[in-house]
Formats: sequence, C-alpha cells, structure tokens
Amino acid sequence: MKAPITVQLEITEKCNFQCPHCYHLDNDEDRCFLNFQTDKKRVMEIAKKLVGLKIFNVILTGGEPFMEKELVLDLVEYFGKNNISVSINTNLVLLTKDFLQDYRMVYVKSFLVSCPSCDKKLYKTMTGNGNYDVFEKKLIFLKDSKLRFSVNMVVNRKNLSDIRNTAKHLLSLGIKKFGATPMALNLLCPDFENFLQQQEVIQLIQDLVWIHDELGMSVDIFEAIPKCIFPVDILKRDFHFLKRKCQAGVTTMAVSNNGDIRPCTHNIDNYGNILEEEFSLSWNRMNDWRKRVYLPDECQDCKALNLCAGGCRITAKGFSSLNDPKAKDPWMTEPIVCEIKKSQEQIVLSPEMCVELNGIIQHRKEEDTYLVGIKNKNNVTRINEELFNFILYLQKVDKSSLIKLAGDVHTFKSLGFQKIIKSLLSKKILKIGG
Amino acid sequence: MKKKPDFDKMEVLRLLGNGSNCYDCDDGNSCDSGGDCDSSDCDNCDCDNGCDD
Repeated sequence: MKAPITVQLEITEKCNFQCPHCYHLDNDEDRCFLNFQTDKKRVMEIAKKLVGLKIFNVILTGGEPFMEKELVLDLVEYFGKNNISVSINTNLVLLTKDFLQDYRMVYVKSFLVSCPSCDKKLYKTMTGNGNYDVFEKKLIFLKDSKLRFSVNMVVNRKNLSDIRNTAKHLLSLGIKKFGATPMALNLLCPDFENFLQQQEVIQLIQDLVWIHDELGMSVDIFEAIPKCIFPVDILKRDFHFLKRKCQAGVTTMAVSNNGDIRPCTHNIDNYGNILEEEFSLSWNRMNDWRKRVYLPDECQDCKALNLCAGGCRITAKGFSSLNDPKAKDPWMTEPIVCEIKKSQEQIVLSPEMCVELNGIIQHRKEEDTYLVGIKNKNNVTRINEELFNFILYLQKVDKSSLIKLAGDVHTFKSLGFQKIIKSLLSKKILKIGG
Repeated sequence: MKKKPDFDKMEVLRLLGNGSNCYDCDDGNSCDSGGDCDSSDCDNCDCDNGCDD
C-alpha cells in the first residue's frame, strides 16, 4: 500500500480541558494551552497533501478541534469535496448551534464524543475543570441535529465504577451508541496509579455487555485491546469491539499540525514530515509496523493473532522496563488455543434480485490493483482491474437485476459470478436494492 | 463495459498483500476511529484467503 487508508489529523494542540487520562503527548500539568498557536495555512497545506495521497478517511482530532472551529469547517468542506470521509473527535463543550447548522456539516460522517462521566463531580475531576451541565446541553444539540455520533468514556480507576450509570443516563437522553475505553498509557506522563488492571478491564467488558444486553445500546471500545483478555463466551459473540486491532502504520497514521508523521496518536516517534519530504520516504520508514516486527513472540501461536495484532504496542512499551515495543501488552493473558470462528451469514442470490452500489465510490490505484470503498462505510477492499472495471460499470447503470448483470442463467449460476456478487455484498460495496 | 464481463477473472484480493498471516479482513478500523462504522470483517468475509493460515 503506497499510503494509509485513514489519517488522524491533529489540527491543534490547544484544548479547553486538561484531562489527566488523555493520551495526548502534551498532556502534563505544566502545559499552558494558550501558548500553542495553530498555523491554519500549514494545516490546509497538510490537507492538500492528504488529498493528493487519495486517503479514504480522515479523523480531525487534537487537542480539541473546536478550539479552531473555522479551520474545522474549512477542512470538513475541503476533504468532503474531495470524496474523503470526515469524522471528528471532540469533548463537544465548545460546540454551538451555528456550527451544527453550517452548510459544510453535510460533509461530516460522524463524531466521537468524549464524556468521562455523567456524574457532575467526577466529570469536573476528570476534565480538569469541566462543567457537565454545559456538556449535556451540547450533547442534546448534537442529538437533535440528527448527525451520527457515539459517546466514549475513557475509563481509569477513578470512573470504573461509573460505567453503567453513565450509560443509563445517556440512554435517558436518547443516546444509543456508547463506548467505554480503558485509558491507554501516555508515554510522556504515564499514570500507572489509575491504569486498569486485567480484572478491572474484564469488569469494563462485562459492563459493556450488560449495557448492550440490558439497555439495548450499541457498545464499543475505541482502542485495540488484546483479544486474550476477553472471556471466551464474549469472544464468540458479535461485538464491534472484538473487531478492532492496532493498524498503526499499516492502514492508519497520525499527522500533527506541523506536518510530522507518526504511526498513531499514542506514538511519540516521528517518522518524517509530510510537508518537508517526499511522502513515500516517511511511509517507507514505517515498514517496521507493516511487517509487524513489534508483535510479541508470545502472540505468534495465538488463534486470534489475525484479529488482534498484539494489543497496543505503545502501552506495552510504556510498561516495559526496557522500553521495548515488543513487550507484552499489560492486559495480555495467555495465547488463545480454541477456534473463535463465528458462523457466517449465508447470502442466497436470486436472478430477480436487484443490486446497486452502496453509496459513493472511493478508489485509489495501487500498482496493478485498486483499493475501493464506499464513502462513510469504512469498507476499503483491494480488487483487481477486471473487478474495478465492473464496479465502474455498476456506477453508470445505477440499479440492476442480477440476471441482467450476469447476462444469462448459466453465468448467473456460475461459481465466479456468485462468488463476486456475494463478496461485494459481504464487503458492503454492493447493497440489495428494491 | 465495452466487453462482456468475465466474472471468473474478477478477484477480491488481500487488503494488505502477501504476509503469511491473512490480514485481509482489515477494515482500517483502528483506535479512536470515530463514530460508528459499517465495516465488514472476518465474520462475514468471503475472501477465501484462509484467515487461519
């Protein structure tokens, strides 16, 4: 792959909060956000470079992106018009109704909203000095806007016992998507004291399952935690958090607002600068991540290796006395020995069934293959030229019955046709039309 | 399409290529990836790449 699929763009270092649990590298008590200046012109130049790389998704993050509202809107419009999906990570407190009503918001795919607790005291403690009532007011604005969002609670020992209550309160406000994410270890100012132990992470997982089963909320964990810590009965279920794994430097990377490139937001190692050198040079330096050289030896025989990729390598490094990124993730237990394959939903095709593309196509040429995805669907897939041409054809014909696409019954029944159509449906490149 | 499509020649390939392990079903869905997503994954993957190889 010549460039990442997804980029986290840290548009500003500034933040209205000082959350001790934040993974941001400048998160320490002495930081004074007023000193940080965001060079907007430089950020827009970075955006141009990213468009040139034909990435598929960008996540605007910080700091707090809304410290630079106009810049956010400019970026949203610029990326959106260039067929890139845009998500925003925010604590939401600086959100205004005007912002939500701006014509450029049509380009925003979704928000990831940070809320460490719905308990006013705890919220204040965990954000540095935040006011929960203000947050809730802004959350209602967002909910009423009908834009897509999830609320995420970063969890450490201070708010571990508050997960269910927070979810219940959010549900009472009409929020349906909830995440609880164990605090990652910040390499520059690690908070070992409040970092969750294995049993506490299991408690978090069980709380999420309870929230899903009892409250009916959609649940997630927004970090890659090792699969071996999940109880087997949960591992066999179909939760989205079981699908997350570290993709740092593989399909994703982070870019700071001066253009520095890192494999992920948690990683302090600089691999180059997007404005100061040919991108391929920096990207090639990240080959270590694509080769998975930091996978712990203990993971090599694990049945969940392909679903897991060894948890978080940066947290592991922070815990290692030798500062070793190949160390065991502190939440790793033992390699999984049982099969955890789940039953697949079988798709049955009929000749009269109509199919169509599942939205706006995004694509990038990669040597002799193509990456294709559907905007806002996170479903980038690699295909060969023959299939790419077929997808371009589908783009022109809009909706079509399968028999018409196949041309005749013999082709419809053929293994090749059945396999391709099922694969495109499964990857959500195609959808069944009316 | 100018010519009749040859479905036998069409291929869904591994997203990340040629490692001994199949990372194909990678959906670019990493940390803090914002909001909800509709990604497919190994559960319903039809890539036939042998995810346990």
